[in-house]
Amino acid sequence: MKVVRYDGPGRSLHAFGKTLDRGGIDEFDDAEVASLLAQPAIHITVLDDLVEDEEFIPAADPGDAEPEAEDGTGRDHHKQEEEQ
Amino acid sequence: MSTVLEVVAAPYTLYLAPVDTEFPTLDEVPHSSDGWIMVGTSGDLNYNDKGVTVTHDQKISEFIPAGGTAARKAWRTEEHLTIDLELVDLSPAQYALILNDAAVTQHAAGVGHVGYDEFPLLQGLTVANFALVARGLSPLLDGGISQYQVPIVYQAASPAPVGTKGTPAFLAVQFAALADDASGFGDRLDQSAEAS
Repeated sequence: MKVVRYDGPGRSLHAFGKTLDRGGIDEFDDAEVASLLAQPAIHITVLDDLVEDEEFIPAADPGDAEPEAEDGTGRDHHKQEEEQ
Repeated sequence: MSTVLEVVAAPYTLYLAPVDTEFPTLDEVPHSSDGWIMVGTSGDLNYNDKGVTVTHDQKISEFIPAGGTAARKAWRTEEHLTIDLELVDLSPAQYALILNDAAVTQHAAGVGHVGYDEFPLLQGLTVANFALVARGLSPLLDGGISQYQVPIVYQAASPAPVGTKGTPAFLAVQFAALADDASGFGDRLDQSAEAS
């Protein structure tokens, strides 16, 4: 099974007995996802793949109040600007 | 010899978004993630060669006194702003957008049945409103952007696509402006310089 988000261009999608509004998320089995990906008029994002990519990012320590910077420096740029 | 910037010959590209969507600045491309949908799947490459016409229509009343033959004063009694084009694009997303922003439902293909898109043809009583941006070339800066930004428009034309050989079917489109309480028919912006 894979988690899929419907991105349009329609306002809703009927596929394999399920209905998703644009931006909606649901699970489809692998063969159904392959079928949807093979239909170029339908735009979907397979979110399972995104989750796998993010698995290597360590979870934030709840006690750490300083947010991680996007460039990996460990510094929050907004906070840096305030300090300057 | 300086370039004659003020002479402009290029079509506008139109974008629609829900009313109250923030207008893009001149250095931003209107993007779907901000709510803007380009009119024409490929923009102005889907517009007939007539181009895009912006019309400032008005009605004026004149006062011609009994003692003279020429008008001595004038009043504006009506004004309209419309933007017209012929959209050579019958994709369901664009056709439905022009047909009162109808909802397109996509049906995925499966075992034993084809996939298809559908949208309703009956438009109903309520007229869909949009915010509109029309982008073209600036008459002040080579390569600069010009932008009409209109807070409220509706699609006022009666599209009649003709299926015939040798001539592409198109949708007649006219966006008519409604006056916004705060900004009227909106503004036109002309880029005059690059960002420093």
